[in-house]
Amino acid sequence: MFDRLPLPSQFDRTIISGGTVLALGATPVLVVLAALLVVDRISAPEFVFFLAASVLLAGAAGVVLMKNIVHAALCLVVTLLGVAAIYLLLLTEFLALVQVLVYGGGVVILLLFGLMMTNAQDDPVVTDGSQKPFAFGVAALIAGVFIALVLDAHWGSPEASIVPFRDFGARLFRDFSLPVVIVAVLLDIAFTGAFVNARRAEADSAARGEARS
Amino acid sequence: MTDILGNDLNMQYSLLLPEILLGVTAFLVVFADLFSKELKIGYRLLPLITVAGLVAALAASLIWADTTSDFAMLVTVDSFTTFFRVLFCIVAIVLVIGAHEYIEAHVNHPGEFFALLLLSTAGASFMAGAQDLLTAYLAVEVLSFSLYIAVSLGRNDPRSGEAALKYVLLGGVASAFLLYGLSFIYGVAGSTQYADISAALGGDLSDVRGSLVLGLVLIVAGLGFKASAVPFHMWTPDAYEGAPIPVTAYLSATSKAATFALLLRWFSGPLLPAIDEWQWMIAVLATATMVLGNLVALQQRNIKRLLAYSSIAQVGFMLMALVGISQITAGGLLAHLGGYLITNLAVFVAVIHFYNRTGKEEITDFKGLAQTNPYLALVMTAGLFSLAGMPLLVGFFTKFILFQTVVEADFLWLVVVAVVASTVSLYYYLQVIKQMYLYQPDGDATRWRLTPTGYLSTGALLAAVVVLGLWGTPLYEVADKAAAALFPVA
Repeated sequence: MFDRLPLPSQFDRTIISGGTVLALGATPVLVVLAALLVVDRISAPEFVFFLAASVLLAGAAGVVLMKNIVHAALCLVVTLLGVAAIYLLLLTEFLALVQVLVYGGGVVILLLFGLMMTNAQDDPVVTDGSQKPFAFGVAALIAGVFIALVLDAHWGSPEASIVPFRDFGARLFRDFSLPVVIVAVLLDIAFTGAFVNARRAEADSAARGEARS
Repeated sequence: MTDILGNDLNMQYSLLLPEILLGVTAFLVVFADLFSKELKIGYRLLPLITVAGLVAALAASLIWADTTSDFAMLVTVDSFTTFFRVLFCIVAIVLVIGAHEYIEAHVNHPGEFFALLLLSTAGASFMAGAQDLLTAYLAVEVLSFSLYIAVSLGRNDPRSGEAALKYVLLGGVASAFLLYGLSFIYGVAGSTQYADISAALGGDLSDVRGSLVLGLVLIVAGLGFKASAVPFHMWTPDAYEGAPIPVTAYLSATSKAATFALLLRWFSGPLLPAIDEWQWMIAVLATATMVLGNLVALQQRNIKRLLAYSSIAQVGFMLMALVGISQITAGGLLAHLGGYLITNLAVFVAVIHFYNRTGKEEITDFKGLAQTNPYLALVMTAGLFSLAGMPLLVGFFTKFILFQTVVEADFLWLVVVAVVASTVSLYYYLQVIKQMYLYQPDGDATRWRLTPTGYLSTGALLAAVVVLGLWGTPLYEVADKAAAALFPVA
């Protein structure tokens, strides 16, 4: 009977509620930033920076707060794209490109496939939350100290310049060839770890079988 | 060759020969394990290949014993690097020889285990050699990742997986702290090169002092976690208890020594100009670590947990040397690291062989070991007395040098705390010795013998503990030379 009523489906409801929250959150930020830009309190690059920063922060908050794990993964895409925008502002187009292609594309797709195949459940209800208020207090305190100290510092005004791809490649694969190799070994170790732990139960039962025979 | 900024780069790959050999051996071991059926080779070949690779790497590191050079401004190869390369190779060789029976019986995927051991040894020696923050951080991660996985390899032991999960979560947070701290140091100094950072921190820093202190706090917290200094030690007892025993030994030996190598490099070089900002942090950590490590060790029932807290306590002693850092205290610290590693390995290899025979690891299980295997009881006793710092053993000699150098650096109050803590430690070491000598064995009282490789490894360690305790000059001279490389005469 309820099927015939013109109620939105679960999918539609997610889109509607998500869109509403997004619009409610984004509108004031956009209005304030646009107003500041019009009265010349911030320059155009700063406008882009604050916009990218708010997108990034909203995405990061979404990753932590979303109960549905797929929604959290999609929020991660938003965060990573925000980071790419920051890279563009720093004139490092190559890093921005890699960020979009590798992280925004590859890594998150891989993550979603992983979620799909491992049958991951949504965020379970945490029961041992007695330390939560304390943890929140400490986190807020640390965040306050960090923000205060970073705002307090005078970093000077370093000149950003566009690095040609050619120089970038030479720097990465010749001058810093050793760290690149170390990263390769690191990835290899991580891969080994994933492999041995995925086959852990199998190895355990094989060992038990040997012991029995 | 010059880099794109116009600096001369020395791309002499042979300087990295030890690490290259370790990496190649790691892949050989994995492939030998993978094709063991096709090639008709048994498990026995894997430890053989591993030891061969480690011996080759040890020999290769001795080639540069007296040179001072660098690879592409990223890795320094000097006496300090050589000291740690040799130390790490020796630790791994002893562990493989002493524990290969245990690994066969109680560790999943032995091929991968040996490969991880080799790669983490390479990572550890890069930690000692790096002269660039980025390379150092990556080396830390190579070592940590290998250890996260090695901890999880215990066979049929749910504690192993739990320990690995705790270790990887807390270790990830610590790595993030470390990296964030390094980014502040980079922001302040404008370079990742140790030499440039040292120069930048020597200048006027009033504008960025807050950020510098924040960076130092984060670095000390991150590395304090890796070295398991109080209050960042929470993971240590659980990881030590859940890990396979050779991995526990490796955690307390190479992982700890590599962290101290990195701390020595950083606090004697790039961060030395900022000594006023970090000296008190290390002093607080050292005091808390010595006191808490020794007091909590008193209550332990499991031998691995006992040794975990004992190693925490030892970290407190070693941190003292960083407080008053100079060439002399660095020499004392390096000597003590050498003595501590040998002693600790002697105890751990003995525990491994005890576990091979009995499958037990509570302290009360050691009842009557002096009757069932007097030789193993002797090795354990020598090792535990040496850890406590009894005269005539290497632990006394190196601890004495360490304490003396810290007194010379005008930190008498730290040494007073250390001596009291060290006396307390005698109590819990004696608890184990009491079980072995004063009680009758429970149940099976038949005598048993070690395997030939068991006699080889424990015999060599026992000899080292006794001989270096009576005549420690060679160890001290080597440590002194390594420390001299940290403080080049300008």
